[in-house]
Amino acid sequence: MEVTCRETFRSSKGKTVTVTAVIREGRVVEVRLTGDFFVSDDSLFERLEAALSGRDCEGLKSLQLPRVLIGADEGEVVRALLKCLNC
Amino acid sequence: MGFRLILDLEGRDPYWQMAIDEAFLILRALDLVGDYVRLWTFRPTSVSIGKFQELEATVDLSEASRLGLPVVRRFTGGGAVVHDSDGEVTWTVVTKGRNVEEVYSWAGEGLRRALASFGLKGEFVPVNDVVINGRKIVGMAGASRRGAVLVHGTFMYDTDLSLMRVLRLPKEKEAVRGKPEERIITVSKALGREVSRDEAVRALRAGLCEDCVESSIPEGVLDLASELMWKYTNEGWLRWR
Repeated sequence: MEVTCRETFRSSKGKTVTVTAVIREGRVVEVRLTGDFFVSDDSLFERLEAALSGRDCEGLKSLQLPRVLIGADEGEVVRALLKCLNC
Repeated sequence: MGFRLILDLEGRDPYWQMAIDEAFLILRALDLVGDYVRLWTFRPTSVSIGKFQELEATVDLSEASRLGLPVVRRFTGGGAVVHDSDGEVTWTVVTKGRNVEEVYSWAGEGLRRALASFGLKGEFVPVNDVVINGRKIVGMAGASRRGAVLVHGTFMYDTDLSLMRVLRLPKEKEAVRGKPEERIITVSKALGREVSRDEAVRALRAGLCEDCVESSIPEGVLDLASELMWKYTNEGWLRWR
């Protein structure tokens, strides 16, 4: 079964971030990040969304992400996804 | 940074203005143009949303349509903005060799100087705001490609703040920061008198680019902007998120 999860939070630097994730069989199938944050380089943003996709709980917990977001933190995004996965 | 200054104040629609700025960023990344500061205006009054924002969650589209405000998705991050054609001068900085946050800080200092020329005490608040007594007077947004950085932003000298009603502020943000009319201020309101566009342009010029050589938009930027118009007038880009 596939479900779509939406988590919106205010980042520690005051930006609003919405994480929309398609979840299937305990795994994040697809991730879309929206909000009023910035990115350090456009090309890295697509890589960030791709890196978050296809992960289960353990995969997300051990994920090492490059710094891409400005005004928000990748760790906050991972926490939102862990919430979506109930882990 | 040896900047050239472009005074481009006749006002053009938001699609063209975004195409011009993105063309500057692309060509700066390729070292085909140098560093520039451009002062310009949206005409007509328009709404811009950040690259990563969801359109319908951010803008009341029926109210924008009722007011005749075109909406454009920027190529820069950040939040939604109403650009009052008779109350805002928009500015752009394009450069290379610094990261986005360094350019925010550099522009923030220039804007602080611009406000000081009115006798106002502005303060740069990272990530991307300049405030007077805690109320936002300048917002800025940036993007970076292959080492080039473009930061553009508002300078609200006499913006009609009631237009902000077309924006849908997330509840999380409104709870903390208040309604736009309460957390934003214009130069006119801060001074208690009407400030003209000419005064705003003089202040921005003094703050951001006092010793710059005046220039015009390079032909290559105009040509590339014409090509990029397909993107900014395309519904697919507007609804990308």
